[in-house]
Amino acid sequence: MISDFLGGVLILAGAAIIAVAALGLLRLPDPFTRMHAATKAGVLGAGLTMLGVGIALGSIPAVMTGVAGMVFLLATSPLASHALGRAAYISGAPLAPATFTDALAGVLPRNVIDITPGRVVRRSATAAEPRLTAPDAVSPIPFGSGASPMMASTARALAGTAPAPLPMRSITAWLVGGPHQSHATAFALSVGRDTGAAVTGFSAIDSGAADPSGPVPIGGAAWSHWCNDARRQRQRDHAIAALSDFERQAGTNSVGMRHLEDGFDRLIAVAGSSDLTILPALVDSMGEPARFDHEIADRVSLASATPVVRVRHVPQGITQALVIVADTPRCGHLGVAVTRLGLWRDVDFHLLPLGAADGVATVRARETAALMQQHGYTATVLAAHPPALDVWQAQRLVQGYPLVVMARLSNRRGVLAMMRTDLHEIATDQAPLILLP
Amino acid sequence: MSFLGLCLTLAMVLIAGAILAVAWRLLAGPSSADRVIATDMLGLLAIALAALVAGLTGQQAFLDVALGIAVFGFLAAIAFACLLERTSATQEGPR
Repeated sequence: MISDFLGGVLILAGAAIIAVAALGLLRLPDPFTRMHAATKAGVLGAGLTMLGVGIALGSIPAVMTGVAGMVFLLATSPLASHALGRAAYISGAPLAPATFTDALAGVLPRNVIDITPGRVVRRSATAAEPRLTAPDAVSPIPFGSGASPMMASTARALAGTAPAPLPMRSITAWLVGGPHQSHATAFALSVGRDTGAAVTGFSAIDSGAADPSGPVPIGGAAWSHWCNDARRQRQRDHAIAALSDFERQAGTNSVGMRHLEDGFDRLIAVAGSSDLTILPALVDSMGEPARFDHEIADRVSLASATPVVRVRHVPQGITQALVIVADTPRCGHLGVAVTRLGLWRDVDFHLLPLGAADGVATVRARETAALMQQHGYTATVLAAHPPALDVWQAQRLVQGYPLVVMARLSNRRGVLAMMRTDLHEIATDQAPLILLP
Repeated sequence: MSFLGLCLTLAMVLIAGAILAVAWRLLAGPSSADRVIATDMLGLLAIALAALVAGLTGQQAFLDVALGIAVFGFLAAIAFACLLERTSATQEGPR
């Protein structure tokens, strides 16, 4: 009778501990904490159940089997849990967002990110050599060798053929997430296919933006830590979704991927050494919806010298493009950015000077048009408009252009920027593709 | 129903709920490490289940089954861990 009672209590205790372990497996945030729940509470629960049943059965062999089972489980679970935790770390299982130090960083090799099993990571190092767009596009100097550049371009212009564009070799696609990310990915991959350039997907956790700038940290450090954790978790989720979407869209094409946990600014520097950077619209560096003045596109285009394309969606076919030439210094790079990219060679570029009829902007627009024509583009200068347009006029101007080339998303900051009257801002709201030099 | 029978039935219900939770984790993942850990946990649940069946039927042989599952569960955990390490190593290459 006493053995029945003792056995029953042990069985119930064991089952309850196992239930708690399963709850932990369900609710804990990352594989390592889940491993803790499974291999400590789980092992104790299973062992107690075995022991309890052995005692309840009452015979000496049954009790000994129960004791042996429990001892065996207790002896082996440290080995199993150690092996599982090590394997989880090496396979790159994500750490919970509340993790602040990774003591194994640099000690064990670690995969980049690992969400679906059986996926194949394609590295850009093993990618096939990108094919060239033109036979003579090998030279890094655009106008051939031998004769002076001016002579060569004149000769080509006389012969009626456009000079060969610089081959585009590498494209950076930022994978930050948000509603426009899949369009940006599709655009990056299509440009990569058309030009033969290698496409690399970048994603980074922006720890620099983790200062409690959003909600006021009422309640002190715990609350602000919680806010940061939640933000980092969301950022990881966005990055994971964008990475897997990138892989899915890439299909069998060879693409490269990089994910950095702490290196947003470092990644901007690396992206600056590619030919083109492609970014989704209307998200900030953490994948959260953002207004234009906090957009990742604006931040990256200001920080790197590489042209940036901000994608809202991929237009059907690009036949016309609007180039907004204002009198700010950055607008001087607009024509250079377009001609260096070598994309959109059969597009009609319309240059719109913003300023007085014979002001700086108009002169610059004429010079830019001349440069683009020398490179074989069709460029026409529209009539100059004053910088302050009324909204309807601005919308009419921007309408119908799938591609807009301009220097910044907006020239204004602060509260006044809420009122969208500037042509830049109207274009930011409307254009599907924006090229920022 | 005796006290022991009540305990056994209650324990069965608890284990059944735990199996559902662990199965959800096994299906949902999201990482393969999660799935391996869930598999390991399922082995532990099977041990408890076999022990409970031994208690319910009074057959002592089921306790030996539980012991056998324990041995194989340990080997399976080690093997899965090696597999996870090795596949990730071949996918990404050593740094």
